[in-house]
Amino acid sequence: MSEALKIDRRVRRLPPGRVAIIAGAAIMAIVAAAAILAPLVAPHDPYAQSMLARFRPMSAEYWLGTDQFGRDTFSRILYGLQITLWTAFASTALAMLCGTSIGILSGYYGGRVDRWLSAANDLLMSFPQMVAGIIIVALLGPGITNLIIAIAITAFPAFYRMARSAALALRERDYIDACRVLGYSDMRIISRHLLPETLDDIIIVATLWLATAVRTESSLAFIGLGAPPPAATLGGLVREGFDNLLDYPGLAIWPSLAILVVMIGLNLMGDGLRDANDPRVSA
Amino acid sequence: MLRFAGQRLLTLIPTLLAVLTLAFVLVRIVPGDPALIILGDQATPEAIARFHERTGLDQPIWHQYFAFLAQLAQGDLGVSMISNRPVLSAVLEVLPYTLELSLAGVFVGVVLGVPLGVVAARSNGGPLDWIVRIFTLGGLSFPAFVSAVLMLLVFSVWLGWFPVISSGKPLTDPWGRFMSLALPALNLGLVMMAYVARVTRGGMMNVLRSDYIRTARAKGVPARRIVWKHALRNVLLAVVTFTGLYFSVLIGNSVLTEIVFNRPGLGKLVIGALERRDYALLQGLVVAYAVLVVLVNALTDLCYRFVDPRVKA
Repeated sequence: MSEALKIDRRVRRLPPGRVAIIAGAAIMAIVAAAAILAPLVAPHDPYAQSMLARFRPMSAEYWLGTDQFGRDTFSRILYGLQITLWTAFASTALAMLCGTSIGILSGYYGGRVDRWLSAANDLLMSFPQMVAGIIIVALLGPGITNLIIAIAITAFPAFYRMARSAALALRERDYIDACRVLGYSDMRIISRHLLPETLDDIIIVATLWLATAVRTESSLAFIGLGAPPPAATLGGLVREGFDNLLDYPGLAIWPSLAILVVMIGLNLMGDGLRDANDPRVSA
Repeated sequence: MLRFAGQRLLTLIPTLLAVLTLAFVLVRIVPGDPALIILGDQATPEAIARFHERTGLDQPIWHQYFAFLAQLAQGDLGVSMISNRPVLSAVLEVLPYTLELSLAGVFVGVVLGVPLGVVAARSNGGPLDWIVRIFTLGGLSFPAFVSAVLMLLVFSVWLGWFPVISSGKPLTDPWGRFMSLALPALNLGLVMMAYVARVTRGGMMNVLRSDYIRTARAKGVPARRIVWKHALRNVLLAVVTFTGLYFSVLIGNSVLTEIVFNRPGLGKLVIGALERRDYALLQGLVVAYAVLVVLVNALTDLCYRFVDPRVKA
């Protein structure tokens, strides 16, 4: 058999989405539990400084060692997870809420407002997301709320665009016309018919954007634009470790791994959901 | 082709104008008077007035806006609020480093990503596909600063293969310049590679199902030739489009990469401008980034047309 034929024969054997969703959800469940239960699980106070315990190596007392102020790295990572996850969820939820509702309304009603909104959205999209995030946070000032707003602004276009195009496609369908003939109000058509149709796509985009939000949050914290000190953030911890990289590389490695675990968990879930929902992929 | 390029350049004007307006507004909605931030709370009213006069902040806002546009039209990005140095020369001084890094990153990403995607598509569901899948998942999961810090630690600090600080080497020292570029470019490229591999794989799977591929097979063209010659040419279109779209992510990652590897560049300049609250410099940098992204988008369209003769205006 020629190799080109083999390409056709080997139609997917493994259910592509299932494994990834389960693995990703399991990782995220553990991470979320660790973050929520941080006050109970953390062996030390993440903010307690001790000049006697500076730069301790890994030990039974300090599982991952201590930083330049004698603070326990493991406890700080757990509390950092709290901030990272909360910021990511809150900003994605905010962007999802605003982006989806404005996008659906914009696509459903069309007209001049829709054209202007789309143009503004394209503009926002064309700007480097990271640079926009940096500048918005810098302009709004430090603080977790401002961070959430900044990340939500950078995530808004993705939701807007998706919801708008879905509404544009759906509003021409016969059953929507039928709804209009029946005299249903626009609000009812949108909330009972358009929204449920787009929900699957919105959830997939949201899961993938959670990963992006984690990336943005930790990157901003690394630059020094995250939650202000003494709050422990994963990106901030990597930064502190980076400043002592030559002597105490562990301080940068452990929080880096924590970020990676979160990112892998979210990406697995997002990928899996997308594959499971894509008719071309499922066998 | 030339006519198309000209038309495309004309459509840039409204976009650019919008972006420039955004840059102008963005820098002016900052709460607080920049004079107070830069001169300090103890500044005398006279000093503040002098600062306002020097920076044009005493003019009405629409006046400032048109002055800003008029200056831009003459290629003048204004002067830094702190050093009084022309912003344009500050930007031009570091721009080559950022461009060099971005282009090298794109090169690494495409050169590694495309073959990886092709291999995955050919193995479709087989072991190689899964290996590439897991590999790219790793690539997608690395924030650029995490990979940068870890690569710096392993390759520069522990193995000593590359310099720890990639500060600007002159072109007269090509080897030094290459070595200081290698690791940062690899950092940008590896993250991009994961995306390129996925785009290539997806495109390849679609193309391999198309009629002209079946015809080629029926004619007895060897599988290797079908994949790498007939199919890949079509897949590259998707890669070009993706690279254009990805450029703005790449620029964001280059900011982080420049910080970790201590390279001069636009990113380092942005961070410096933020730390010193130099809003004039910041505004100039926003303009520089915007122009860069808009130009790359236009360039992508041109490339697209060049690669695919079917695309008409």
